[in-house]
Amino acid sequence: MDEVIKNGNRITFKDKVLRVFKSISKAIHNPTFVYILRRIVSSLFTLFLLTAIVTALMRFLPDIKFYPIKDYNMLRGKLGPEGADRWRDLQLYLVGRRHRDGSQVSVLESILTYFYWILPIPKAVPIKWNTSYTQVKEYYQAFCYFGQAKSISGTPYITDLFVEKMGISFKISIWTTVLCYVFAIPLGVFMAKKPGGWFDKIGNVFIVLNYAIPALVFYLLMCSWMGKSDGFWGWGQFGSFYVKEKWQSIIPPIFCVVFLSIPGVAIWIRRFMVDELSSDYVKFARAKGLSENRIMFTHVLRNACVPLVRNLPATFIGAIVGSYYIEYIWSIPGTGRLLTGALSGSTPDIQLVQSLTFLYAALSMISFLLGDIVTVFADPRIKILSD
Amino acid sequence: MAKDIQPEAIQNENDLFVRVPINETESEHLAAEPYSYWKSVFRVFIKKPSAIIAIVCMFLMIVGIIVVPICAYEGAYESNIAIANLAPSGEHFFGTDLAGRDLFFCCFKGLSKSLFLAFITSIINVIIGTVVGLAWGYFRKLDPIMIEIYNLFSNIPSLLLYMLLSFVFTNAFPSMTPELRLIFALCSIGWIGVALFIRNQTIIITNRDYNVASITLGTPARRIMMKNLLPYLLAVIITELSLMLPGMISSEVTMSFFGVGLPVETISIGAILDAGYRYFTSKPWQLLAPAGTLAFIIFTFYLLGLALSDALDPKKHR
Repeated sequence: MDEVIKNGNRITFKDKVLRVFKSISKAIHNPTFVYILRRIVSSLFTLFLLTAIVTALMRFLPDIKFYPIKDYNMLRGKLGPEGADRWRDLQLYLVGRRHRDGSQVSVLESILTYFYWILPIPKAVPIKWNTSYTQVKEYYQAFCYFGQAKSISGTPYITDLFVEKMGISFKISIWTTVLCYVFAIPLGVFMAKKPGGWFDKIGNVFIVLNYAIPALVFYLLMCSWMGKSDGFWGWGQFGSFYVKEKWQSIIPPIFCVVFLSIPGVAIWIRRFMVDELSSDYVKFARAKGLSENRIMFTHVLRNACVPLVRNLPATFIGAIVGSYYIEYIWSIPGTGRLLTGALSGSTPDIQLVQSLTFLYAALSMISFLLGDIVTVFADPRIKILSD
Repeated sequence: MAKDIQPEAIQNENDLFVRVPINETESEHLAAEPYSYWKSVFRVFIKKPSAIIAIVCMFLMIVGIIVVPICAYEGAYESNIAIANLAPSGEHFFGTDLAGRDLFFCCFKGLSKSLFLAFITSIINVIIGTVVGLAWGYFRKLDPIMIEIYNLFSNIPSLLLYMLLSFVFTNAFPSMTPELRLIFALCSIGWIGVALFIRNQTIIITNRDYNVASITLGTPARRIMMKNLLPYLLAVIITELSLMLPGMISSEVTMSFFGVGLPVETISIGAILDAGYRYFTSKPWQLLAPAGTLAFIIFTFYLLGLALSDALDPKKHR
């Protein structure tokens, strides 16, 4: 009743406004909200620092890496040294290392230019000139501009490239993350049920042997073995490389990644479960006569999962980033292959390397933040403090 | 019986007892064996089956690294087209590679080189990490800056950074040898994880009574770190080192595979693997020989690290 009537009067407009302000200030003073806000701000700061460092690192590369020296020598013969130098300055201008008049761009300036490019504000970046490079013919109009990828034929814009290649990488990492947890959780639980028992021993041997397998070699072996159209894996007709139209061709890479990432999760589940087993609520559940499976799966697992839930987003993002090998070996057109392509060519694809670093760092920061938020939801006992 | 006792003998009672002189050293002596942490660690360690397997593997590896290159025939490491691409046989145990080098001898030479590089990088990383971590944990004012630096580096996938740095070094400083470049790249951020780990441990033990007493008595910070903290942390540092080694070897292999590590002509596990994987389907031994060697090292050091971390755990003693 005192919600509606205050001091015997009806609530006034002023009270309503005050109440709205109060709820807003309550939300602002909510420690979780403040914590998340602070984390976002500090992550943005870190991200910009990282971008600046990578941009500065890239400036260590000598100019000669940015234009084909063969063309320069040819032009030198045709146009004389002056004309060739003008052409060279133009090439360097296009990658942002020289001004239009041929003077050197300072490191700070190139960092600021890059920041301007990647800031999500509407902008127009010149991308095409006429033949004498005096007039701009085309602008790139969008929010973020990451530059053009040279190592991909047809010089597509990196922003579009990410959108296009992200799909398959996400698909693979979703499947690997889900399947990895589906197999690893029961393994860890059954190993923890009787520490030192026969199942635990077999599991430990499996985990140690699994760790010793070099990932690259395992992938190569499985690629050729599972790719065969006859023999043990013949029933699947998987093929030794990825084909978009053939859904089963994605199974070998997923199987290989899941197989190699099971021990990492299982060993942690086992450790957390064993730690929980000596706590009072387990003894109480046993005293009440609950079955051992019920205790393990409904009571202990829920508590043991809390530290793992924190790593779930990181595992997922890590699966995207860490798939250089499988995308390389099964020729999957995902983001993982972009980096190796950009680094292994004869002329470096600077803008692609820069933007990939930015993308991966941003993804992992998001995943760490998500991990913290998910932990709060998974375990009501955990509270984030803003200090 | 009492008759037999001579009365003269018991005249002086004092003759029955001999006064034992007080011996300071003997009275300070403890009959029980003095407790030594390292002896206890050794006792726990040697009883573990995984430790025994790791020690045997380690022994085999060291013998192999020392003995095999001595037995190598003339020109085993040089290219010889006449014997290129031979399958494993009694003459060439692991077969020969594309250039006609004997893979058996190359693998052992590569093993010593890769291990040497991994040792150097791990030791540098652990030393930098320990020094930074101790300072970070002890001087709490450094915390906000260091946490930000940690966030900065831990958020980038390490492989990406290794590749990036190696790539920049290759192009910016072409006169640098590939080995030095690799060491620089691997040491650039590897220490940050160690530093955070040491920092957490330092914070825990700085609040122990003996450290609080030392701080109260005005012991200089350097002395507290060297005499109070470091001996306590030695166990975790050793474990960290043995678990870091296989990771460093794998990183070297990965970087070589993507063309930013050691060049193909050098004899290292990564370079041999890189050269071998291309013709894997037709000449599988060129991949399997270095891969087996690599698996062997990782297995050995992983087992050693596991056994050590169990044995060094202070909770398991006493």
